[in-house]
Amino acid sequence: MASLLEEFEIHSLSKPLFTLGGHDITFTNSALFMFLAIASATALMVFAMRPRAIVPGRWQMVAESFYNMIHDMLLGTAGEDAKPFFPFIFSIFIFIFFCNLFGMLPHSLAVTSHILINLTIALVLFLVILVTGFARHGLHFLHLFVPPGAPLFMAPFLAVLEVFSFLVRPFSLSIRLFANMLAGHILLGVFAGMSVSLVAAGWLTGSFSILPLAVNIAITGFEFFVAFLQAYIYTVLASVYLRDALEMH
Amino acid sequence: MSPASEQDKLNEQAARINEAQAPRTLGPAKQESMGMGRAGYDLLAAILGGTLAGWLIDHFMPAVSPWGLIGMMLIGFVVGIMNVWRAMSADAGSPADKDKPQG
Repeated sequence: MASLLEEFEIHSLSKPLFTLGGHDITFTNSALFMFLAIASATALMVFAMRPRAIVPGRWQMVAESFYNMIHDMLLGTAGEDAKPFFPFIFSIFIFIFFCNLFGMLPHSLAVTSHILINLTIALVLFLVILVTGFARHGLHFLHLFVPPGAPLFMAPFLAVLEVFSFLVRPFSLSIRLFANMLAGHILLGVFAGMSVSLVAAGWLTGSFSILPLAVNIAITGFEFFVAFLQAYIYTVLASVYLRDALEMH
Repeated sequence: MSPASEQDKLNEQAARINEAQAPRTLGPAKQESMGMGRAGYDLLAAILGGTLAGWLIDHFMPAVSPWGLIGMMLIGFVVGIMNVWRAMSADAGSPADKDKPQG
């Protein structure tokens, strides 16, 4: 049986395009699915909103509900000040969501099951948060790292912990998404493999192979839910962290 | 049909739309369960992040090895526990919120 991790392998689809720092840069399957995700998300938003009807049709309804969901969540979490960041947060959501959905296609690669992709998005997000924080509050932004009400002699120790806690946020953000996508896809593979093994073992055990199959169907449905939920949680936490930069508490 | 009753009808429709949309927003229970899911990954990320930072310190400053790894891992663990505690007490919305250190 093929390795369960085979579906996560990245391979080049093209000749090396150019060399960067001693590495050959090629067009990989990861890049392909990212392009597909971006293209279809853009197509959804552009073509679904084309009619601009007051009473929306089906596609316009889909596009509008994504928009409204993230819009309400962002303003509810990070406040009215967060409005300029809506395009950024919405892009993160729709990109992760479509990457997750493309991962559900057979023989495809779930791009977000690679921690580097998630970490890159999280680091860009933290760059934005840091720049915003310092631009808005100047050096006062550093007060984020000194808990109010703590004794003065404790402040240096607490500041170390707070800075550390701030720095591991991108990790926590990307590990959550990566672990959920990886675990879900491996689980699908495990149950599918179990079905195949039972059939291969003979007719008596083969008749039981319907059980892992049924579980697999249920998990497939659940994975679609996870694909949405993890994209949503990623954006919710992104806006929670954004709130720190916008309004110091 | 008089304009007034037309207006009433619109108002009634608007009320019904609001009512139908109300359950779509996340209730407290849902948000709490999301907090629960968060905490585990926060702990894991803090420990892994600390380990990585410590490993990098040891890698670039071999003189302090292995204390960079040990120290940063311990700090990561402390921060992880702190974050979990914070997430839990924020979720519960309990009176304990008052005396917890605000980040």
